[in-house]
Amino acid sequence: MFEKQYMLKGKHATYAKFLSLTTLKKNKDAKIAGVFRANIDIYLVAPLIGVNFNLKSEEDTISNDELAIFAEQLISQQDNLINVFRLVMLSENSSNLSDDERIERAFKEDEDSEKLAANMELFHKYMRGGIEWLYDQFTEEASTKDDYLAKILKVTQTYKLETFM
Amino acid sequence: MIIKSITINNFRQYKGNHVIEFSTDSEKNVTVILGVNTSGKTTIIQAFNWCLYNNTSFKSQEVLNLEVCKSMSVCSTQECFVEVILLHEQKEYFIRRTQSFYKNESKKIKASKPELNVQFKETTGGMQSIPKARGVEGEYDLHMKETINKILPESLSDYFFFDGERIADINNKGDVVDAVRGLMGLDVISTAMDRLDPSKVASVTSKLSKELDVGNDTKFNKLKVEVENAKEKLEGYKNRKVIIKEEIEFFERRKIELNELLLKNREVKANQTIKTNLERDINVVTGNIIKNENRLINDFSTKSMGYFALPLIKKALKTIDEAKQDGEGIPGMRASSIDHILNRGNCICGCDLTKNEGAKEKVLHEKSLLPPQHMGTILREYKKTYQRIEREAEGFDSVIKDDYVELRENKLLLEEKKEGLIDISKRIKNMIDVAKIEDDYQKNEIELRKKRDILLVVTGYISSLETEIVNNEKQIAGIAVVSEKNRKITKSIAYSKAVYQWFKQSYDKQEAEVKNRLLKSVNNIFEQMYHGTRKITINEKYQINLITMVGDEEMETEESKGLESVKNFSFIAGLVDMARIKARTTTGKENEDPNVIIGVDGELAITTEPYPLVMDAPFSNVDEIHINNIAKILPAVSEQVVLILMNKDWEFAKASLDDKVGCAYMIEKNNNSDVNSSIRRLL
Repeated sequence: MFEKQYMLKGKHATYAKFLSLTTLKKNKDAKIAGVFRANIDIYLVAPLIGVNFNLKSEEDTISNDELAIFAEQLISQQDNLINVFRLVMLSENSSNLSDDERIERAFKEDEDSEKLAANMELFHKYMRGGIEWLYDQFTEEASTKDDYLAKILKVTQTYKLETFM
Repeated sequence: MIIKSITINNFRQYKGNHVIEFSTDSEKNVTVILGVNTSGKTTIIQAFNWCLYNNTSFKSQEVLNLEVCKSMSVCSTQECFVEVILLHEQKEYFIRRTQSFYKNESKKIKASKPELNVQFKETTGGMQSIPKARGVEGEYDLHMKETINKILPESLSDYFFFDGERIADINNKGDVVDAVRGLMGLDVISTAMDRLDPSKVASVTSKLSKELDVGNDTKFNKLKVEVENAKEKLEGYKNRKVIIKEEIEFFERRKIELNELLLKNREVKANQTIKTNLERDINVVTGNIIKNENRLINDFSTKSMGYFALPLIKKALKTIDEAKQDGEGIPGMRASSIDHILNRGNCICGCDLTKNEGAKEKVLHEKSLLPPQHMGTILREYKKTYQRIEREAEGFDSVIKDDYVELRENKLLLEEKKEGLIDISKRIKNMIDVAKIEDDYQKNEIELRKKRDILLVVTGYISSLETEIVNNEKQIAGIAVVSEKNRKITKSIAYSKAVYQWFKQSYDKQEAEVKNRLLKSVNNIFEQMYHGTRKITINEKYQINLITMVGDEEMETEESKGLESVKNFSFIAGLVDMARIKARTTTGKENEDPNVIIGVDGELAITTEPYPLVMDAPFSNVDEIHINNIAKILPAVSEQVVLILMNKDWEFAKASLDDKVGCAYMIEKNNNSDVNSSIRRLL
């Protein structure tokens, strides 16, 4: 799990490129927010946001854009990714599962490839939903670097407000 | 000059008063004084010389008659005198020389200085004394001496008061030229010529020439050129000074301006420091902002996972807590680890699990508590993990906020600094380059110093030139005065030269005439005195020589004493004759100034004065025939002849002169004494 390269596609790849600083490595003139240091950082937090706001999104096939989350990045963050994955599995309840079922899904279906694939797809749906939320947040009334940096605080505060208040 | 009388008192042999009145008759113009040897004949000539010139051939003490002298009592005084009365230029002169003698207690005779007294009778009949006046040697009788010399110059006296025994020397005397000139009246014009002769050092012309400052004209011109040059230079330097002053004023103004700029420069410097600080601050703040941005992004990227996970963790922990999972497995141990122990058959405690079923069951139980089989352990582990994440996520928003606030503050700070930089840059931009100003200031100072140095030098030059001009102009003014004097002197020299030439031409002509006439006269008289073939010649020094004609040749001849006396008598007689004739000629003219007068035709007229011949023993060296001849001629050529001679000589002359004798005297020795003679008038 989280050992092989994952390819973001379509708008989510575009959005992720907008949010990731690594985009500048390939194109230094790219007009991006660059609020995440690496693609893996987006990949790590986006599912959490998606679950929190119950935002799921299917893989975009309209756009051909792609962004690879490389295997070495995944492996370097494997523990955190597994923790996030199990957390998503534990906390997501769109299927009205019982606590034990969610625990079973989170911890005992790793060996079952079919179930694991389904669970991973769910994980990625939330991941894409989270990317869209982040993209929306960082593009709303923001166009400059200062705007984007200000948006970091804003996003943090918005997340807190919309989640805990 | 005609001698009226001589009074001899206590003089030499003549004790008491003795008067000889001389004949002044124009026909009987001979006075004869007879005497024996040592009676006092020569004393009469000496009396004349003493009276007129204080000239004696004996000691002053011997002037007083010896008998008188001897008869003087102790502490008594006696005096002697000689008085000559003569006619000169129609005036009657009374010339008396007196000497006092004092016999002291030791019977020694002390003679006082002879005193001269000269008087003349005015045409009105009144007597006039020649005043006393001190000469350069302190003598009181300067005017009187001058008067006597005008009547008969001492230098001529020997020709008219002479000793016949010394007649041979009469024409060989050095002053014969002066004598002739004086007698002929050429002396005045000759003296005038001497005074004017440019070739003579003591002449007026030479003295005037000496007074000429000959170098002054050159010096004057040189000084004028120097003054002109100096003035030109001065003007140049003054113009230069004005320019330099203007330049100095410019540099001084520039100095003030630059100084003011440099004062402003302090502000610029401060501003530049501020600018530099701002630029540094901006760099620092910019760096900080980049760091802030990186930290914000970094914190957001790396630490946000927990923050975003927080709501999920709460749900997950609730799920875990509510799950029906029991038992606790060995932490960190997994089911596969137990499988490994079972496969090897030895427990970690050393128990052989193949032989101890109880132990094996216990191990298998532990396996069931471990994941994946046992969720309890898994959940406990994840619960701890999530709790840790939850703890770690606490304060994340504050971190982000702090990051952002710091970023924002730095951004504001940067803005502030940038604005400050813009502002200060604008201010600095409007200011002149300080380094350039300082450079300009230093250059200006150098120029100012240079100009001030030049000003000092130029001022020095000006002062020096002004002094030079003033001094030179003073010299020029002085020279101008001298030049004026020079001009006058030059004019005077020209006059004196012209007058000299005029005198000389006239003199030469007159002298030639005089010489010619003298020669004729002397020869004429000589012919009358001497019957022979000899003739007399006169050289340029008025010295006479006898020549005789041998064939057609003139030859100088040997002279006997007698012939020489005749020759010299001829010379004197010729001289006196000519002077007498000349005097008559001159006095016959209307304009009668006895001194030098302009002639009627512009030539200088010369004048002479008739002179007496007072002869002592005139015929001592002459034979009787010639005595007779000479005696005939003398009264003819001279206005007045006084013959002092012995009876024997008179006997030879008597025949020729007897009818010419106006007065006759006999000198007689009293009691045959050599020191007491009397003069007795015979006729």
